[in-house]
Amino acid sequence: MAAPASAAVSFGSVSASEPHDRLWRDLKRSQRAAQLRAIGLILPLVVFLILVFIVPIGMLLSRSVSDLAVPRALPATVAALAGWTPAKEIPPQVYPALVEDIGSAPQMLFGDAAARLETGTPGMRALMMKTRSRLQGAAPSDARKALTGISPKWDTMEGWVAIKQASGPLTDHYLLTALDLHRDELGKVTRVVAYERVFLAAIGRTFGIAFTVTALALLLGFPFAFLAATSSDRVSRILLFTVLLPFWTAMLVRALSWSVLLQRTGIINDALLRLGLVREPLDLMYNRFALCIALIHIFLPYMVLPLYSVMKTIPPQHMRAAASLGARPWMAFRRVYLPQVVPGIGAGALLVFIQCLGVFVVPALLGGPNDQGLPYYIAFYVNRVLNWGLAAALSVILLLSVAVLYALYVRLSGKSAMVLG
Amino acid sequence: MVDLCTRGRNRIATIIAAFLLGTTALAGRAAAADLTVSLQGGPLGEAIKTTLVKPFREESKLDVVSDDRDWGIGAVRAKVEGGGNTWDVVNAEDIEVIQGCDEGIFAHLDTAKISSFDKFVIKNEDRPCGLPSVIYNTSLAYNNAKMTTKPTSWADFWDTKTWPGRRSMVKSPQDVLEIALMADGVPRDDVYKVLATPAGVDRAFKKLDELKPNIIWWTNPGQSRQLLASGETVMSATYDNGIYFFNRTQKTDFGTTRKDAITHTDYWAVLAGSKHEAIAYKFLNYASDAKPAAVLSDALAISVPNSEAVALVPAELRPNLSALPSNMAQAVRSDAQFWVNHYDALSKRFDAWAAQ
Repeated sequence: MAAPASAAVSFGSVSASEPHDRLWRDLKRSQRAAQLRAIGLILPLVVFLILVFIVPIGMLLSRSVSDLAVPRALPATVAALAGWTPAKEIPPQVYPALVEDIGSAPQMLFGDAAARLETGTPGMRALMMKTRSRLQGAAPSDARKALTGISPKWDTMEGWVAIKQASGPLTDHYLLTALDLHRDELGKVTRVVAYERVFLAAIGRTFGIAFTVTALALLLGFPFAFLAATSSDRVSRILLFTVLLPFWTAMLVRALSWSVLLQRTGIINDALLRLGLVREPLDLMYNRFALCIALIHIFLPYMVLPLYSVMKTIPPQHMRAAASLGARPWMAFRRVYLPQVVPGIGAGALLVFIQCLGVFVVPALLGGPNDQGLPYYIAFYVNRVLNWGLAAALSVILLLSVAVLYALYVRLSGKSAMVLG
Repeated sequence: MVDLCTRGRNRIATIIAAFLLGTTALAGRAAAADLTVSLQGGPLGEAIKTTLVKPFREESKLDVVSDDRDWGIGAVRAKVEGGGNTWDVVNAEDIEVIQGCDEGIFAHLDTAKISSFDKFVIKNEDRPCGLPSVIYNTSLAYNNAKMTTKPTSWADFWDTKTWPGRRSMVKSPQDVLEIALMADGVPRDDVYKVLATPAGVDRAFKKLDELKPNIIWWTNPGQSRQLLASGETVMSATYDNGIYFFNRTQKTDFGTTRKDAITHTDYWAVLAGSKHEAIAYKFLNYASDAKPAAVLSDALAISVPNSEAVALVPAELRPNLSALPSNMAQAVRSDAQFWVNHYDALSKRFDAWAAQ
């Protein structure tokens, strides 16, 4: 794309004589055809990516801030609450408005709204459902009396505040929840009660585990890749084969085979007991240790292969030259070899790190309750609680954290050109 | 060059055309089915497929297909919201039926159209969208081969002196909090009354604190059985039918307690707007009929709501059926409505507690 533009500048600045112009037009024409072909070739991929990747993810992410369930189901109530703040009396017109909305809202919209209110204020779902089933489409003359008769809660602020806070069309409710925060009755952002704070810890855990696994995979993978890159063809082929072998089995199988080794009645504990090294079987499973081992095993190839491919391109003469110039092995390694491997390290580390952020099957099988990362909660809220707004907000947090880390990494490594190796 | 290019383009066009044809053919096939039954993956789904869906297809001569759903109610909602729903009937958990009914995903059912409904031991009560399909308990399970004295209560589950070793429980507040309260001496009929109060929740978590170092959390019921078989755990709070089924297939000798078990019900539900409602009712009638239901009951060692099915299963299975009146009298019905109302808050608290 950049080439024709710069050509235009240089051509244009030389002169505007007739032959030059024609030449330039011809060149542009021939290049345009090539360009169109190139665009045509990548077009299917671009369309595919937009359709199956960017659009659905964009739609999902927009759920984290969009808040339309309540205004759609209860438009009159939302309008009646428009000018109200919790410091004032409950306006009397909200009672008939709510009765009217409940009578006219289709079941599906009403259920959505009740579920949305529940996410902000526990108990609202039950209250809404009860109110609807008690009213049964009737239009009582004294709406206030009817509603407070169904539940005295309608006489208190709580329910109205819940509706007010969910009036949409945009909300920070889900993003706040994803950070263990919420708005109190007066709209002030505060932390949730200590025993309900789960997400910040889960975010920390997710990244902590990913860091550990990436670091250890690098520690293990580096010498291995070095050996594979510097030994004879036959040896290196065998070495690479051993790395690729686990690829042929499913992730689930690999995780489960670790449980055969690590459990209390497993092979390792059995051997230790028989050798008399321990009296009681060790707790090797259902903890961070087992999880990290399994993850390293699963993701090691993603570290070794980029390292290997980079190391393969470094001629052995470089090290020899460094040695001949008086560098000791460590110095030669640090000053000559390592800088050339950095792209491989970067690519491998990113591949392992980002994949670690997304696993949730392995932690469920091998980890303890303290090893469950953010992906588990995302799946949980999508599927079990049907709180897609919160699931989307958690995804946003995960995505943003990765983006920030990646930006930081590019900044620190000082190589903007190093995009995923 | 040009030639190559057009040929390539033609090929791409061919591929796109083939792809479109393929997808429309697939969509056409799914839409052409007379009835699509969506089942949870795993043993239950497999058993329903072979004992109910297949025989019904053969008997009715209708094109009845089943579809696996690895995910819970979220998958159903995604299908309905996406507009491309091809499912007519789903088998769903209690909570899911309530959620789906509240949200209008499922249609209200007319039980008058189910001929054997008066034989049901569990009616659909306040589940206007559900027809009970299977019944099972969360029970205390143990390995007879490794016990001299058998545990008989949830209090025994907490007794790590008499029965040293670890226990496994489902990684979810549902069932676990009820069990903790019963272990702490709350009578089974009062469990949900106590759990509905903040003090009751505190009490349950306090009781769980005692056992926490000895708990392995399972996420798939298969894990709980495997843990018992390998000796990793001495006891497990898990689904009783899975235990009987495991005994039968793996020749293990696991026992269960029936006192203070928690009874769960799965339901059939018909999706709102299904174009095959009449056939759906035909299928529901077939599925709740004593004879086919008994085949399912036997296949998974699970209970079915039709009381007449009990007489049709092998004698050795009968005393294990959780829907047997004598067994139900010792158990507590899981209060799904309670969990629909409290699951979100309690699961957050549970996760935070478990991660400490």
